[in-house]
Amino acid sequence: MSPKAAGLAKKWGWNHVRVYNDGMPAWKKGGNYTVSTADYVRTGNIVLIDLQAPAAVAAGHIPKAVGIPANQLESAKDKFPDSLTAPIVFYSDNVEESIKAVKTARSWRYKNVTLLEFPGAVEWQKKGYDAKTGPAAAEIIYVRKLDPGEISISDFEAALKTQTIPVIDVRAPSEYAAGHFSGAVNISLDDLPAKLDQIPKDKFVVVHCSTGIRGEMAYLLLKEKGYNVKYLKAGCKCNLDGTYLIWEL
Amino acid sequence: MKKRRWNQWTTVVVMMAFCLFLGLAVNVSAKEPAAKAEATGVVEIKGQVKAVSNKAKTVSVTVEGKGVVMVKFDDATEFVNFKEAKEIEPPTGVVVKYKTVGPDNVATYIKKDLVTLPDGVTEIKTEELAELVAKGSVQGNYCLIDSRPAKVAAAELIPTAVSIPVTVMDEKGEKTLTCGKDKVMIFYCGGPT
Repeated sequence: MSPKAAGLAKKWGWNHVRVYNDGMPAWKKGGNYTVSTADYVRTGNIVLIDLQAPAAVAAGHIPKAVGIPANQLESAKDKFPDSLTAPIVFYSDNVEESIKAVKTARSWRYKNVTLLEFPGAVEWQKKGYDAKTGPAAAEIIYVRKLDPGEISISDFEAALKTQTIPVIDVRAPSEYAAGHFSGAVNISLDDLPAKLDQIPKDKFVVVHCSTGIRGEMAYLLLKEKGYNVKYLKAGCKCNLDGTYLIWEL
Repeated sequence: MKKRRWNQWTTVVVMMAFCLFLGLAVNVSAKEPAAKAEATGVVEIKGQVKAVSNKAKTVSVTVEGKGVVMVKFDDATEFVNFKEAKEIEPPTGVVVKYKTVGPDNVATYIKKDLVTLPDGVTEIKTEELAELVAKGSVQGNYCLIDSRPAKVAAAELIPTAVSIPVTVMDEKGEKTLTCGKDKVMIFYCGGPT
């Protein structure tokens, strides 16, 4: 995308044109912070944290913000959502403090941590956005939206319990042998194209692997072939005794 | 005008002949069982890696206008610009050649599509960009533009960047860039694609 844009700018008469080829992934890998636009903060399904002291928060904060003063952030780790892909946005009048908060949340392995594109709630109100006075919410509530084709962890566990929905484990046979969900059938992803006839076409089926990567590939393949299918996008580990763990990634 | 019409006719005739030929080819291969499948043509696709599983030796590639194509790789697969399959990561741009063997697509060739910059355009690396961003766009005398789709950019931008999707530039032309021509224009997206 960017080389093409640079080509257009060059053609239109801009002489000093450069491309940051490595792009957003390299920027984040380099430990640099990123920002979200005000409109995204207002409308997105995000976790919004106001880092200011309670008095400043009470004077005016962004409506859906949760108040966690910067100096208490380290000890508030347990309040944050299970899903490491949850978008977390911090804001404060103090830019240094905000940048430090981004580093803290990234060290907890959250992948999408940003700052509001301009500092603080005062700026927010100046731009004509709504603000609320009084104390901000104290608890973080975040419900991740499911991706297309994704089954929620609770629905997946219900399917395991009732055993009425076929569950297909697309991991390798060796992984399956080391422990699997009770009732799951093993058709590894590499065998899937050849073994489509073993999957009922008139029934809703669920596929899973250990991270959701192979599961999603299997889902896309089956969907294209006309199957009624969903996949588990989560981490999971099955033990030989039938016990298991499933966690949000 | 007349010449053009003649050209169209030629195209139609050539296409009809080609279809006839394809029809024959399909007929032949349909008669020959699976063993012949290897002899069917190699398909070349160009797109972005969507996911890789080294355990299942499978890569899925998003191809514009075609959707997601799932391809297996093996010891015979030739990797170009990659040392090994483990280096393939989403969302790298790739060119994949594969053949259909029975129910599977098997890659014969996977090439990392290296970015070629337009003439007179230079690359900037993270460190230099970070120094500019720390100065800010006025003092740094630059305009930083995120070329990705607006929705993606709104969620996460490099500080001081403005979102102008490349599709919008393409459609609406020069007026989409409000940056002075004396400034350094820096474009970025989601990595080498």
